[in-house]
Amino acid sequence: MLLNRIIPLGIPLAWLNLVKEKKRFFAAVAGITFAVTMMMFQMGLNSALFEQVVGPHAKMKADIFVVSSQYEYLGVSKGFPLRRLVQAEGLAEVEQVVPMYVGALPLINTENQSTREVFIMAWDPAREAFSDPEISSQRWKLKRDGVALYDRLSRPELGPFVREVEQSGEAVTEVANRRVTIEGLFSCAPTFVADGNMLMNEATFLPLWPGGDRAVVSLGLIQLKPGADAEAVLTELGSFLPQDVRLYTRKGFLEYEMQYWRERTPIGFVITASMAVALIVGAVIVYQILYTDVTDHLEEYATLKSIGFRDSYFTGVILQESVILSVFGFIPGTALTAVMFYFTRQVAHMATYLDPLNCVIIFFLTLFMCLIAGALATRKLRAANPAEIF
Amino acid sequence: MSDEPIIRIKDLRYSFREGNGMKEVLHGVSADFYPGEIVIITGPSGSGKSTLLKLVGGLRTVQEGSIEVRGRSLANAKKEDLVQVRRQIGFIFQNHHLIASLSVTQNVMMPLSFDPKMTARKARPQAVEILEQVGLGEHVNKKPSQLSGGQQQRVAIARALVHKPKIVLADEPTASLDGKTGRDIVNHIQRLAKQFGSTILLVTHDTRILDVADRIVELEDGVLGADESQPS
Repeated sequence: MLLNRIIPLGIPLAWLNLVKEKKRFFAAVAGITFAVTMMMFQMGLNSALFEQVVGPHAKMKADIFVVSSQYEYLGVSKGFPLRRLVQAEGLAEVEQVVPMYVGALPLINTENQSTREVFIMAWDPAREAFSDPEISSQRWKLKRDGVALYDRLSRPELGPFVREVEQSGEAVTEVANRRVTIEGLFSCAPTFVADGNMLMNEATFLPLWPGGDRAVVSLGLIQLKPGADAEAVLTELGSFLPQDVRLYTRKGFLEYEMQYWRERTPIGFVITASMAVALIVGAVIVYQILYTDVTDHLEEYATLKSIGFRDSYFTGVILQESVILSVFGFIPGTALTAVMFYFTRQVAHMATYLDPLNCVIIFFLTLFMCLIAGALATRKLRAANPAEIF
Repeated sequence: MSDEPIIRIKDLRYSFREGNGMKEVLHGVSADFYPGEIVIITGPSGSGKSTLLKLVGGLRTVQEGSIEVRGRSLANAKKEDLVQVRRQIGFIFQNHHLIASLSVTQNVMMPLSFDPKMTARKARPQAVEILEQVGLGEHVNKKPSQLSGGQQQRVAIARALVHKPKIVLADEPTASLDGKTGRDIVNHIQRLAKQFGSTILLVTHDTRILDVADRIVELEDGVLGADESQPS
């Protein structure tokens, strides 16, 4: 049996050697826990950050997105003719289309009169543009001119609007030198475009926007009838719409936007680099521990060698120790990360969650790290020459 | 006593590197050892006794001359051949060299794992039985550090003999023990070896235990002296 070959006669020498030195075992586990926590937290932060970047897109109610062929990202959009959406609406599978107008405009902080940009998304509130219950239930407020909904997760530097709305039901400010009344709140989280988000009626927004024109749409939302195949409709639309627009499925649009930011920002690189540092620190700690362990047991290993154990047995013992250490470091590391994710959600409003796939990746990275360290430590075993020791 | 020797040594020479040159400690040793006999090898310190034993046990590689153990030549032996030779030998060292983190029984079980068909269920009673035979039946679950020096050496004997090796090599097994305990240890080695029909090569300069030998061989200045046959 294989188990009998790895652990002959059920005598777990690797385990017994490890736990014999309790302090050292604890130090090794603590080191690996640190590495696991650091890697897992970075990965969680990374995916949460990119989730957040597409936060507004993900909330939009659309099966297919239409953008200009020169579209870069949600903040910079050249716009395309409204006619394209009217053309799309002709298809039998299309339930309705919603033209969206977006842009970042200066917002007055009424507390200190400073100005910061806020990202505004505007549409005709007679139609449903977001699949968010909080926005849907307040959609009617936007039917009046000069009214806005404000993102409560916007950075506090933008102004005291969240507090004012919570206390008195409304907050009055100026956007691009026009009076705007904030009558409700929603949750979305800021993106790379601006420090806060705002929703408006297109009729309020377009006059504020330089050259704002109802016929030039920033983003088109196409909502399909139940049961329609988005891929098929996308192909069909692509066959007759001119080259001045690009079409995306919901998933494709989010992917595109995340990819754009991944390439445009050094975040991915920074996170990969700090994960590599954590991995190296962890490997060095494990190597130190295993090397000391081998040195301490060298005489015993030489004894076993002299009574007929092969080198492979000792290599096996060290590698088993590596595996044990990685499992024992991974479990508390994952638990610690879960706690840190909880606080990140509470404090920074970032959607940090333990992702099963990330857990698997980190586990194998940890295992890899420990096995490399173990393999390096086994080099010392060659010194276990029985004739030299007795 | 069978007529075919179990160990055959011929013109064995061995040198250590010392400083820039080599120092020869064995200058052409030849000897045959037969199945079931107990041979004590004596001689002053530095006469090469220990080196001879390590060469027979496959712990050092043969430089010049030849050693045959059960028909297998150790000169030019491959790593795996040496492993196989070591597995057929029970080795008892000057110090017990037990594994500190294993229990007494687990220590004794270790050599049984060489038999691929062996299981923990079969090995444990075998180990406990031999521990009882050396008078340690009450200590089977203890760690080596909880035993006295004499008891530790008895565990080492149990470990060397548990797989009933055809050859037992003992290198000064009584050196670290007092006279009475040493005597007791040698008696255990002798009794078990007779029981299993093993050949024993015992290196010692402890004159009080010479009487257990069937034959005493003296190694002096790297050559074997005259055999003194011990009437038994």
